[in-house]
Amino acid sequence: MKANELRISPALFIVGVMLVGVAADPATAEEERFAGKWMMNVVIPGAEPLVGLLEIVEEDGEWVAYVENGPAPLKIDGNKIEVEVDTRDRQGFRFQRLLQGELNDDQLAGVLHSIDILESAAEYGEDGSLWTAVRADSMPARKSAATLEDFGGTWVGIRGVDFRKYTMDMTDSAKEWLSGYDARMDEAQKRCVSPGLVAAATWIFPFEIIVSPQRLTMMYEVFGLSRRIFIDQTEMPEFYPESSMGYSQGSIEDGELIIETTLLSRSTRDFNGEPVGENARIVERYFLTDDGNRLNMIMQLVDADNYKRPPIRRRAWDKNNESLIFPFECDPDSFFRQLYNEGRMQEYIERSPRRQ
Amino acid sequence: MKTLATVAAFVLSLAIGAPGFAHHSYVAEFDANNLATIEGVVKEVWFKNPHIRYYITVTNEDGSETVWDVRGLSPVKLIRHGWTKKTIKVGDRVKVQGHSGRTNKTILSIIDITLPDGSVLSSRSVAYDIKDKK
Repeated sequence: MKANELRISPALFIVGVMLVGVAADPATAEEERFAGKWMMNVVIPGAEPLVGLLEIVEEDGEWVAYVENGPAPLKIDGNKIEVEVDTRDRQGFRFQRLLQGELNDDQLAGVLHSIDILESAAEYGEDGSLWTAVRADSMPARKSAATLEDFGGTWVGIRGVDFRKYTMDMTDSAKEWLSGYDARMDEAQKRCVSPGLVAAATWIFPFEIIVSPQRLTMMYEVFGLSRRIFIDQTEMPEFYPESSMGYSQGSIEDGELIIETTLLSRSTRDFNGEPVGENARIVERYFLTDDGNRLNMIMQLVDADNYKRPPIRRRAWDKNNESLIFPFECDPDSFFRQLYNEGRMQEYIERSPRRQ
Repeated sequence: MKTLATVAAFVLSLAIGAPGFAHHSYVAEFDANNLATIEGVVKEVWFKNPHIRYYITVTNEDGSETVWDVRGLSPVKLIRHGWTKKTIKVGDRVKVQGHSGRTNKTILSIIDITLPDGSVLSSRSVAYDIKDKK
């Protein structure tokens, strides 16, 4: 066959072009180097480091990022990366954390910038902090010899640790429910009603763990909430009622206390109204530092009715057995008097179905 | 004296921050970009969870009176810093700086309160200082 007689079938030509295109697409090659799960660590002066899971994946031909399983806008240019993490401060005001960095030697490192943070919320002075991220699967496995008794005591929350990622990957029905949420009317805690397990376990108030045979009792200062964690008991009692704190079963694995909670009544994940559904399962993993004086917790809310990816929260406490858990007598007088003064009582009554 | 010392230490411990109903929908209720200051006489003290409240009678320029609803943190946080039910009493003349309500213009979220003796109590450090004082 002479050269000028070469014939290629159209189908083969298209496949060939595609292969060449994939191999030569520098953007794809760049981004693939960032793909996977990373554990981020932001060093903040005067506070514990912020820790969070960053995942970079390709979805529908686009490279996207998730932080603590919530979507986070991503830019990659060469070995440079930029991830935008919308965050809420403790009052609920939103601001952006912009993580700018570079990929070198399969590690990420850079600087965090806080954007639109209220002066009133700049509690950590975190702007300009350095951050790093390593492959999540390169992290050493947590192993300890801690026993159930080691988790007992009074625990006082410490600053930092949790990214408080705001936006999560919600289902359409959850978004619709949230769009009708009126925090001034619907927030349970305003009426002295339990805000639910996610809130109780992640808010800053201290709590106490009491260890009994095959049972832990957690007593939270906030709203005087308590819960029992049944250890190594796989049978769930019949007729156990659902509640905002749910039914918890726990076990110790490699020194880590793992708790799964079901039988949850409808509540909210945070004080901006993101729902926790009745079919939700909350998984908490508690682990101690070697000296036993710091307790860490990672919580995942597995709730497919409301979230496409399980939101992650983190919290850490220091042991202080001399600390007192105060009684939390609660009276919703201010809430109802305000409604009355503003002429909104009827509206409150009409919103009753949202509180069921 | 111990109480005074505690309150003084608390005032000295002011940090950058804002009052925070850590468990409340603060954003929905208050406008962080809108600071207001009022001065008046404490009409009612409500020192209970989920948050404290003072009703304060303010005399307006035209001589009329308005009762302001002034909100603060939860007592369990405040008392760890020496701010108790007895710290501010009915009849005290106080000056309050705070975030004003978004829709209700006669509510205020306390940032700080100036007491009759000129000392200042601040919610700022309480909101973010989570040290426990037994």
